[in-house]
Amino acid sequence: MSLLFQIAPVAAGFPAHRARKLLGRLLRVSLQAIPTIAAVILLNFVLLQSLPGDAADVLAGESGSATAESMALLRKHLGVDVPVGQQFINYLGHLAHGSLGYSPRYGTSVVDLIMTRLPGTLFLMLSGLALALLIGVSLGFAMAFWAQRWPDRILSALVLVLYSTPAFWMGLMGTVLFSVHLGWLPSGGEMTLGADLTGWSHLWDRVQYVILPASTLALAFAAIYARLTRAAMLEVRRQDFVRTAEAKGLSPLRVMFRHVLRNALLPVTTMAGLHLGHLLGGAVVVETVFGWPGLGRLMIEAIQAREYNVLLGILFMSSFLVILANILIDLVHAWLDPRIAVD
Amino acid sequence: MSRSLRSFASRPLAVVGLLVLFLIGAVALAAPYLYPGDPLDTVAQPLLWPAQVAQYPLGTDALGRDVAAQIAHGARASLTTGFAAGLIGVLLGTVLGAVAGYFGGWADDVLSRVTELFQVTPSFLLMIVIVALGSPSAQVISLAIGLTSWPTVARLVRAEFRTLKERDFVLAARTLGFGNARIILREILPNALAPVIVTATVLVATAILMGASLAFLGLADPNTVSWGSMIGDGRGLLRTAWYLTALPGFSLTLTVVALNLVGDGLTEALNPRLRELVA
Repeated sequence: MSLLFQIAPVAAGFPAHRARKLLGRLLRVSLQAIPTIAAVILLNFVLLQSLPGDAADVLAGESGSATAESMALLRKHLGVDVPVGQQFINYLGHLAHGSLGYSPRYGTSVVDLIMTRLPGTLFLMLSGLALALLIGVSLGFAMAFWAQRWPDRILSALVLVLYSTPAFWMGLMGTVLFSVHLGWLPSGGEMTLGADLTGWSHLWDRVQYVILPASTLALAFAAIYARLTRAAMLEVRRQDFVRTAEAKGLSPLRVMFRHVLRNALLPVTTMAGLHLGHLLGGAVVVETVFGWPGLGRLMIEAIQAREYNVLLGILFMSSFLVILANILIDLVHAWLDPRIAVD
Repeated sequence: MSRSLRSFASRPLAVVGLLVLFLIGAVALAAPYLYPGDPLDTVAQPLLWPAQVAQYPLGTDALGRDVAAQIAHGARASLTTGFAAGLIGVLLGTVLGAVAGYFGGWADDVLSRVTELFQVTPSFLLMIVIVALGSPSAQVISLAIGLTSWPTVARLVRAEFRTLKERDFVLAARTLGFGNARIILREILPNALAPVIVTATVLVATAILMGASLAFLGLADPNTVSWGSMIGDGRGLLRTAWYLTALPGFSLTLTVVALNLVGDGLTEALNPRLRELVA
């Protein structure tokens, strides 16, 4: 919320030369991402090549019978009868057309399959991230405010335990407490099926279903952000402008909130940006715990069905999303803090 | 080093963590003697609650298998995976980070490209893919976790080597005609070891959690009992027999808390300024 206060005055008078600078930065950061994208493509091709048997073997094995002729035809059809170099060029060609292959089991293209599951995962991730930042920054603020005193020590111990607890187990124990024993929250799924809710009741329904999964995903990250906020705030508190604020007679709470916390948030949001990949990894497990229809569940289904195309497609798309998100975060930071855009 | 040791010993929480870790390690080592035979054999009536029958203090699961025996044997699997993966990650990261930091140039460029690749590829997803494409054996799982965790160590070692190689004692060693290998191994590495040791505890803790998550998802050797697979098995009976999920999860949390306490103690004992780097 404090970030909004920083954005507001900047957005009000957004000068043209800063827009140009940001555009230049967008170009530069995007160019810098190209080798990384190339590396991601190479990694995925290598993994694709390391599949046990080729796609023709898998398909033939599933159909139950195959002759040498039909196998050769299948290999030609799948494009695995040419040398590796040619296969790589073909792979690049497919990627350029936005294709990650076809999933026989689901009867649709891998990209379409991923796109139908992506919103569920993104909704879970963003809810989890928001919750993690809210809890983490609040805890960190309290720890820094009472640094080295007993509330700090107790919260530090709590944060250590949160950090060390496997998320999926915490989710399961949360289910036992909140849905089995107390009956407050649903134990799985995304929304009440067949209820046909609209407006506020629909929103309330979604919130009830997302609370447990999002909290499960959020707690370990909240612990990291709490430690980070505490460290950053203690660092900022030593600076001169804080002493000035104290000297002009502001209350300690006000100094900590308006002056210290605001300046300590940048490293926390940077870290949150770097954690997107981990958040996605966490979502895979949380989706399994709560039967949440998203990419994670799709991944596990793909493994059971031996649909390695789908599996690698998800890995590729996730890496690509993280790269895009990193570019976006970089721009937001440059926008918030003019010092960054200058370098 | 002895001053660091005394500093570590003066931190009660760190010492408690170390003791708990020793205890769990002892249980893991003694499991075949404490509970001989396969922990996956049916030994009693199914779904006995903890303390319901004195012979099975932690109860039995849906197939009548002794939960205490599974916890003890599971400690073995979880710790082995964690330490093996941690070792792979530390070794790879140290070697690559040292080479990149010491030589710089194209070696450094290649390393930073690879590190960037690992930064944008969600590591848990990559682990899942490696285990799914390979086989769900203990070796492949440790390798998958180790392969995705080394960049943290590499970045740290690289930074240490870049600053240390400019120091006078390295210059002195070079003037004496020592070769690169000797300077890296005998001169710089011992001085760069403190942060590596701290990171190693974090790496092992993370590896244990990752191994458990994979096992929970069913990506583990089905013939070996581990804490993660116990949670996965007990999940179906969450409503009626939640102790089947609670007990292995508690063991897991206790182990990782102990490791992190040791890690925090080491951080403060070895270098008070390091805290911010690792967080």
